[in-house]
Order: sequence, then C-alpha cells, then structure tokens
Amino acid sequence: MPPNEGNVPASGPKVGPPGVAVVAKSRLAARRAPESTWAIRRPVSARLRLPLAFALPVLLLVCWCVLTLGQPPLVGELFLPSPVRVVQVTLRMILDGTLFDAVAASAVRIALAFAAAALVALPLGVLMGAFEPVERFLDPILAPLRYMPISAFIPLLILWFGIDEGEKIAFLFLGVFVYLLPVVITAVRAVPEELLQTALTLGATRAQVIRTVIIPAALPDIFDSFRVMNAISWTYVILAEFVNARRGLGYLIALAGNHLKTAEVFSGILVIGLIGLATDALIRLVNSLLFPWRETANG
Amino acid sequence: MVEPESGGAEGSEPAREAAAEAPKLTLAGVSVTYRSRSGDDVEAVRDVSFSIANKPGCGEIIVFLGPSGCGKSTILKCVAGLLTPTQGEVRLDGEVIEGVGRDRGMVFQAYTSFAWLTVLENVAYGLRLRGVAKREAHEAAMKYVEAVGLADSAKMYPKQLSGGMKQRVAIARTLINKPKLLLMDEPFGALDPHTRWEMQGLLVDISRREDNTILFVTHDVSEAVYLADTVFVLSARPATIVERVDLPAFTRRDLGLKSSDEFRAVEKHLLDLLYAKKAS
Ligand SMILES: Nc1ncnc2c1ncn2[C@@H]1O[C@H](COP(=O)(O)OP(=O)(O)OP(=O)(O)O)[C@@H](O)[C@H]1O
Ligand SMILES: [Mg+2]
Repeated sequence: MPPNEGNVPASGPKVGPPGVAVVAKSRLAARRAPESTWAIRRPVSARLRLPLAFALPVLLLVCWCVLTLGQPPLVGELFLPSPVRVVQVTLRMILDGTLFDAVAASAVRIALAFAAAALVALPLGVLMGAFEPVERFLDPILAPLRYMPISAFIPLLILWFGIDEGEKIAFLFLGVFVYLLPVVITAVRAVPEELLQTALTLGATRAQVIRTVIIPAALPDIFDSFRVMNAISWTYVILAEFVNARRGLGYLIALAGNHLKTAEVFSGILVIGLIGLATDALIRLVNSLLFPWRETANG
Repeated sequence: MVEPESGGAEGSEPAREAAAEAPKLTLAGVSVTYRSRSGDDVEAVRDVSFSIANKPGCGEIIVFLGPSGCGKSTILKCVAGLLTPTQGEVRLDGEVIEGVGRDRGMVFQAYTSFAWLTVLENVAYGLRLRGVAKREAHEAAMKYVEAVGLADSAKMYPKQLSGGMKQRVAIARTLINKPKLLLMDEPFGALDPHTRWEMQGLLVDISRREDNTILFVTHDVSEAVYLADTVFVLSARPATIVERVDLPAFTRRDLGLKSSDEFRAVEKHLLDLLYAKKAS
C-alpha cells in the first residue's frame, strides 16, 4: 500500500437537500417526456435499488466460488482460498479469541492516538483559525508536514520511541493530527463573519466569541471529519502493526502472510472492512445525536 | 454634558428645538477607505456628517437609502464600532465611539441566529454573556420572545424557523440588551414581500413601544418611506449624503398607506433624488 494512500484533502461530501433534488427532478420530468433511468442526477427507483446494491457482491461471490470450489479448484488454495475456508477460519479465530484480541489491540491504539491528536489539534486549530499571526507563525512547519508520507517517519519514530506501543501510537497520532488540524482551521474560518459580529455587538468578549460562537459553530464540521479520520486511522494502524507488533489486526495479517495462511489474510481484511463500516455508522449516529440542531439544507 | 460639537451640529441643520441639547448621535466628517491585501484602495464612504437629535421617550426610525454597494453597511458598521473610520469620528451621547458596545445592537441581512441555541436561548444570549443566571435570563428573554410573536416557538431550534421568524429572533435578541441604537442592515432584504410587510409592521410597533433609535439601511424606496421618520439619501460609492428628508408623520401606517397619494408623493421625491444623483 503506497504510504500516501490517505494524502487526500479531507473534505466530507456535501450532499444536497433531498427536497431540492425533488423539485429539480419534477421540473426536468415536465420538460422531457420519456423518463429515463439515465437522466443526469435522476434518483434510482425503489424497485431497482436492492438489485443494484446486491448485483456486484453476488457476482463476485459467484466468481469466487467458481474459481475455488471445483475439484480440483481452478486456482490454488495458496493464492485464493475458498469462501468456505475463509468463513471456517474466521469462525475459528472468533471462537479461540484471537480475532477479538487483535481487534481490541488495534482499537485501543487508535483510540489513544485519536484522543491525543484531538487534544492537540482542536485548541491549536481554533487558535490558528481565529488568529492569523498564530497561523502565519506555525504554518511554515505544519504545511509541508501534510505533504510528507507519514510512513517515512516510522524508522525515526522507532529510534525515538522504541518498538513498542509508544512508537505505534506516536505514528498514528502524527497521521491523524496532520489531517485533523487543517480541518479544524477550515471549520473555524467557515464560521460566518456576521455571527462573530453579532456576538460582539451583543457584548461578547473575544474569549466569549471563541467559546460561545466559534467552537459550537465549527464542531459539527470537525466531527464530520472524524469519519475520514477513522478510515485513515485503520489504514495506518495496519501499517504500524506490520512492524514489530505482538498484537493487533495488522500483526495478525502480517503473521498469516508470512506463514502463507492466505485464508487468515482474507479473513483479517474482511474484518477490517466490516469494522470500518460499523465505526462509520457509529460516528454518524453519534454526530446526529450530538448536533440535532444542525441545518441539513444549505439555506 | 455640553460639548462644543453641539454648536457645530446646529449649523448644518435648520434650527431645531433639540439643538439646545447634545444630539444623540453625531457623525463628523466620517470617511472610510478599505485597503485590500493587493494594495488597492476602495473608497466606500466620503465625508459623511449628520446628527440625530435626542428625543427621549420616542422611538425614531432613521433610514439610510442608497444604491447597492454604495457604502451603507460601512456607515452602519462605523456606528456599531465594528469598523474605525479612516477619518472623522462617531459620537454617541457626546462620547466618541471606540469599538463595539452593548449600547449599539446590530441586525444583519444574513440570518445570524445561533443554530445550536433554541429561540429562547438565542434571545437570552446577551444576558447570559453578562453572567445572568439561566432561569432569570430565560424569564426576561421570554418577554421579548412574546413581543416579537414567537411565544409558540420558544423551544425550537433555528433550523425549524422561517426566514421571517429568524429575523424576529435577531431583533428580540438585540432588544434584550436595551441598546440606545438599533442598527439594522437590510434586515428584511431576504424575505418574501408578504413577510417583509409583516416585519415592517412589527418594527413600527417596536419603535413605538421601546424608545431605541433605529438606524435602518435599505435600498427599497417604499420600505424607506413606510418606516422612516427621517431618510438620508446616499449617493453611489463613495457614499455621501445627497439629502436629508424629514418625512411627514404618517399617523396610520396600515395596508392602505402604501397606495395613498401622500405616500406616493414622498416615494417619488426620494426616487428622483436617487436617480438624479446616479445620472450625473
Ligand atoms: N472588507 C472590505 N474590503 C474591501 N472593500 C470592501 C470591504 N467591504 C466593503 N467593501 C467595498 O466597499 C463598498 C461599500 O460596501 P458596503 O458593504 O458598505 O455597501 P452597501 O451599500 O452596504 O452594499 P449592499 O447594498 O450590497 O449591501 C463596496 O464597493 C464594497 O465592495
Ligand atoms: Mg450592505
């Protein structure tokens, strides 16, 4: 995996309000007589939605079965284990506790690194977003960091922090921090000037403007970015655990690879995918609970 | 407080009964030039001077009428203290304005309700800043929420409100500070005509009830005539005062007014002033 895999500007996709889409669609529909499924931005009809969602997974599964379930299989077990075998291995790892152990180890690392990164990036980002001198002072160091492949720091971090937990958490911290900071700065800058001016004319001090307007207004965007941060964290934790780990999902996959246990590698990868989906849903749920006041439409 | 300025202000206006007293608000030779980062200067306001007499116990509405982009907001921001004039000074009750203050509240065209606070919490915001206890602040806020007709929506978040309701919140939130000046920068500019009408009525009601002086910016001539006791007609950028028009006191500000001959005549007069200056 190239180390700059995650080096994309972290901006959540802004999906338009459903109401607007419907208005635009009905206007289009009035003009164009035949209702085509392929009209631009036309929502898929309810009847097509389920088949479309399942088509590709089912197709892949069928191919997978065809390639691996023959007697003898078309592709060797070493290159592509059969789905049955992957399920068996996964069940075994669940039952003997190895999987849970690995997931827990990786999750704890992510949680610690994430908390540390947020603890530094939030106040720093608010200060940088609110006070230009602070930003101009720090930017010469922080801007280039964003374009450096974080994995290049691994040898350095090993020298500084050893080969144990410290190094892995420091690596993850760096990875998350470098993305989180610009998100915080951008979110702070995006708070409309009129909101700040309103607070000032209502008698707010500078500290009060930051505490009662800038932070609450910027938080939803920052929390949104946690979804991207979550994905980045799981990418990096695997990378970190390839080096000198004794626990964790990345360690489990690396070990299985070294011992040519391809089914276990598959199993590990699938588990990461599932965890990604689950944590993403969890973050979205938490966000909607934390910010029920949020405007969904742009207006 | 007798200031030398009160004598100076007298000369520019026809002798008024208020001249003996210090005026409420005085702008003396206010000019504003914006300097962009690329070094280009934009002269937004040029040598604006006027004063508004102190009429205690009587809410006055002063309207600034001018073409788009002429510098109306800039003048208002100078009065608010959000902007320091490049030249000249702004005095409120004889004191030179330095920075923002609670005695000058501002309502913007853009909706500024704090989305994370309920209507009641928005209105109580100014009191909470001063450390007033939550219960007390909310009790006081409720009166203002009722005054702008939002009693039923007090617990709602801004995302559930219409544009007109959001501006009601903004007005109530400003009034709770009991500002001497209520500065309104095209507050109804984004509203549909009907809501606009309602809000204009509400503002007239408020100005009768409270004794704040309202400075109101608009580029809508009929809105100006409907609301104003005094209209300052501004030129295109850089803004200068073309004329000060003291309007007849319309006793009945109701639906019929806007089509009355008297109203039309004033409207035409203001339009002439606006366009005569534009053409030259
Ligand atoms: N921060 C700024 N920097 C540079 N130029 C500015 C700035 N703010 C305003 N201007 C310019 O000054 C002029 C007056 O602006 P101002 O906002 O006061 O006009 P306005 O009369 O309120 O316009 P509108 O009717 O659009 O509200 C405009 O030409 C504008 O481009
Ligand atoms: Mg303006």
